[in-house]
Amino acid sequence: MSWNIYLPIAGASVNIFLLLGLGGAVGFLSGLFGVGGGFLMTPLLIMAGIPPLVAAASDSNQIVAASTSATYAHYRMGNVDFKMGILLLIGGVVGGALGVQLIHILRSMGNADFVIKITYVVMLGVVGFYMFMESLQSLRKASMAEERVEPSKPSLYVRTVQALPFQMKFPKSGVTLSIFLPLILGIFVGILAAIMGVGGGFIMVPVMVYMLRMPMHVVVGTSLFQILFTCVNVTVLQAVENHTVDLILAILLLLGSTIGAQFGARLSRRLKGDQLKIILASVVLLVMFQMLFGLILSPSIMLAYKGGH
Amino acid sequence: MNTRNGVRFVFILILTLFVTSLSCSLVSATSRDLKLNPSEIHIREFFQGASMTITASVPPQALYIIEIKGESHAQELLRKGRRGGLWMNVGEVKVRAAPSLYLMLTSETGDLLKKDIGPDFGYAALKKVITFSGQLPKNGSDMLFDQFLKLKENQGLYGIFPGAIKVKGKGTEGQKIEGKVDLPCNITPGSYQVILSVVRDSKLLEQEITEFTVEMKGLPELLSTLAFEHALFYGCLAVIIAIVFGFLMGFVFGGKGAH
Repeated sequence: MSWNIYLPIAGASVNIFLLLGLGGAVGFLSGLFGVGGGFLMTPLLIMAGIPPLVAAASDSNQIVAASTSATYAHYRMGNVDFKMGILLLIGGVVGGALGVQLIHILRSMGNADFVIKITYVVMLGVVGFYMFMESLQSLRKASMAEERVEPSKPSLYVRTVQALPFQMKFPKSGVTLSIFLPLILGIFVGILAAIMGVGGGFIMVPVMVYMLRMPMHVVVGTSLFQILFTCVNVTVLQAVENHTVDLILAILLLLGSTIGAQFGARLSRRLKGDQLKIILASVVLLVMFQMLFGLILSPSIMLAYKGGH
Repeated sequence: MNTRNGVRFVFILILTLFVTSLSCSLVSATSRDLKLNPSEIHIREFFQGASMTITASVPPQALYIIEIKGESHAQELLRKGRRGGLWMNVGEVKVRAAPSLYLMLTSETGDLLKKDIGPDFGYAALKKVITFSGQLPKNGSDMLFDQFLKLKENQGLYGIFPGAIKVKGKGTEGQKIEGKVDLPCNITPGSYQVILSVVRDSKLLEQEITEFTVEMKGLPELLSTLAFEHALFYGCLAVIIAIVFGFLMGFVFGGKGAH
């Protein structure tokens, strides 16, 4: 008996276990790091023969399930800062709308793809490298004998953040910040996510860690909460505007990803924040190198279908 | 008078026999019974493509060509090129008059095939009708046509299969041919033409055309109808299923939370 199933919107026949496995692996990463996993899943689906637009839209649909599953798991562990998540979400929606306009302008100038690809490689490279080095240093320090911690002067960034108006307490994250900061950073991530065509989880996580100074475990849960709403919006829009959501594909992926996300969330609880960061940084750097090779090596076919990340 | 009548009778008889024999030979040279098995393709839940057998009665000693063509729709593609030393999409290209599927089977192979069919069949014939517009490369659309074929062949939607038609039951009154073709799983629902051409000495002797349809049935049909005709409902349904699954898995794997 063959284990292939026909995907009516994708117009392709794909092995059931391949889709369950892909969903499981990416869902695991999602639960572990608080990223949606779109930057990994969509290229993998395209490689499996799914048209790019259908791959991206159906992936958004399965991320809704994975992020619901993982957000619920993190909520039970007390890792979701709803107040911070809502502010970032508002900023993200505004930034997404601005980013879409920016893409229109770039397309009319004929440079859109160049800007998208370069932004992708630079962002992945900078985020991945910085997170990797910083986590490595922290792990080394932790393994050394107890160090004398001397109180140091707060940095310029910290002083600037403290000087901003409308300071608000975020008890779950243990920080006090101006409400403008998550809003502005949400807009920034929203613009980048729209340009790069991804949910933005892998940019949002470092932003929360390094700029909002939130603890890593709360970052993961809060990021997933925000991703859930972003992907609900994207799924409905893709279904209505482009008719590209394949329900059978999404269900098979989400069957794998919701289970994978649970295991990822459990493992994230066992690992230290720095360990989580260094693994995520490695994944981000791997994707960056894969993308860089794709840009350097000449493609076998000089034409491609529209759509995808 | 009798002799005259006799000569006239013999002349009419000979003429009748000649016309009858000529019409008989013409009938025997006509291809008939172009049959497809199956004659309809149904896309169901576990569809993986379909194997189709095409049979026909044909006149002897000729080259036989079977073309399977899908409907033509405009397609938008992205052209790749180099910018700043890096490969990326550099422009949109619109392709017109390209069939959604083009498979060609022939009874002959190699050089004989090229010499006999000329530019009227196969990719050479497609090249005459397919047009490209938009952000074309500086060296014209020739390169684009080759790349377009490569893209379609990679998907199994275009292909040339020399020697795929087998001749069976040779005889003076005609013979049978049989061609087998694998239709790919990414074939789109719609109407398809099967064209049988008989070529002798580089001339088209005759052509017969039949059609078959590809339709979705069962769950694929239901989902496709929902996705295209009730898009908002379909989108909301997709989100609700995803959220319910997410929570369900959360409960199943829930265990003890921190709080």
